[in-house]
Amino acid sequence: MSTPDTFTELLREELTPAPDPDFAAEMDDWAAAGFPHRDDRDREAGRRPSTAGWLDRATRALRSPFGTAATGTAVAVAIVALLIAVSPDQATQDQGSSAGGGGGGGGVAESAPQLRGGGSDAGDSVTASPAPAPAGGIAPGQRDRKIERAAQLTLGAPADEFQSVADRIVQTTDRHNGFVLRSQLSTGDSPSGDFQLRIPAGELQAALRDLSALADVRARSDSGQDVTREYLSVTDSLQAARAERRALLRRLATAVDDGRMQRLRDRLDANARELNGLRAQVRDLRERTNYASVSVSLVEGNGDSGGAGGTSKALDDSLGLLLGSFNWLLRALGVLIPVGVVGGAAWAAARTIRRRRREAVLF
Amino acid sequence: MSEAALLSEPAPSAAVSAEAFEDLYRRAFPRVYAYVATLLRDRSAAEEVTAQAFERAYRKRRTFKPGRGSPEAWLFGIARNAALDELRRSKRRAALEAEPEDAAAPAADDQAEQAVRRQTVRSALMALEPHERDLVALKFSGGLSNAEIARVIDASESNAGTRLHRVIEKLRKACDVDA
Repeated sequence: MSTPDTFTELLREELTPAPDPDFAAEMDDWAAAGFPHRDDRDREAGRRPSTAGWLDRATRALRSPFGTAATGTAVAVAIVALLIAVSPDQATQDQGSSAGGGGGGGGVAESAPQLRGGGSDAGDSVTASPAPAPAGGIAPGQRDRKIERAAQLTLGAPADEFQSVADRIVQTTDRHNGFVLRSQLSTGDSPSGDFQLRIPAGELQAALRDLSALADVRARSDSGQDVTREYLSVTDSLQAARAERRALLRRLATAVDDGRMQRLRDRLDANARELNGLRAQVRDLRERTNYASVSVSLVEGNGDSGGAGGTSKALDDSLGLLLGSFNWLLRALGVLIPVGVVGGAAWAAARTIRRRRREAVLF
Repeated sequence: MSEAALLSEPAPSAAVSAEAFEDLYRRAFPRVYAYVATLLRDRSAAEEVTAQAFERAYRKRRTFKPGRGSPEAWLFGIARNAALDELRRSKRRAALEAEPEDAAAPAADDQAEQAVRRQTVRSALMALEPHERDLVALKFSGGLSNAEIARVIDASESNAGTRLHRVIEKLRKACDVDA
């Protein structure tokens, strides 16, 4: 061994204590065995395993910067998943709000994708809204309900197919034993069409299904109004008026005094007016409940007049699904990105703090 | 194939990685022990921490990234953390353990002169702050380059070099004055 004759060599010699030969031999054996876990090594040597068991290691891992960040991220993801799971379905809300919303621009844009199923599927999938209670009561216990039904349908078709679609609307109405109450069709620069149809209530769903298959459905809504109470009230009034008329006629037949007879005739005239009014109300109610009012608007568009199965519809559906997935992803990212940034910052801060705390022993 | 490449190579070449780690162990074990012993100034604790450091390094060997420094810098980083944890736990402030080996007995005059020199250096080292001793231990016990030291202490290379230079100058002055 050469004598250290320089400061650096002396310093190096001072700072390189050699390991104990027994310790070095033990380490060499351990290395030769492929560095088995020290607990295993302790067990083989008959020593009690280190107190730093799996629980201790797990605690240390959780307390590490990475563990802290991972735990925080996991909790955030769980919260996001929970929020998504319990939040009301946006699509369902949109569908609910579009029903009865008419053919407004927003309504068309929102409701169209849900109705693009077209054909019979679309017709079957849409059910009439629950009948709201009319003002004045719901007539409980009445089995033969009187429901006034209405439906609005907006169809999109190329301008050059307007006439053809209009003809088929009429044909479809006839086929379902309905009739066209009013119609208006304009062609030219800004083509449009409006049809007020009356369809037998029992044929409404089938008719709507067939009408929906005529062109691209832009919007569709059904509504129902329970008028049973109103109908019963009017028919009761009609029966009372008839009974009164019969009574008046009986009294008129037995009357001998001219003045009394004149008063009875006046009351009969009034009763006749009342009866006419009540009969008109009953007819109107029967017409409204026996026939559903269907409003069909025809607008210009590039829809497939053939109904379901068109390539354009399939593309629209795919795009809708893609957009739906993208929206979901955006919502998730809207939460995950801030959580990730905060988690990353927390990880970096925890790492720095841990390093400083560890190195504090040097200062 | 370089050692860094071997260490970073994933399974199925785990045997190669283990082999490369064993090479690293054989080359670095005495230096790691010397560094830890210098820092802790406790041979028993140094043995425990050295074993702990190699165990941790072996378990984490697949996390080693060659682009972030040499295997030695990575290994000494793990050893340093283990040593600092031990220091924090035990709050040890013992004297340096370095005991010069006198395997080759020098001449009587030389022996006396060397003993004086050695005592001077030892005193100078004792006067160092712990963080200064950490630096010189990484340099002289661990035999690391300035770049590797910078990697271990998480500083720039120039900063590590400057700090190390100041500590050595401080030691040199202390030794000159004492001499």
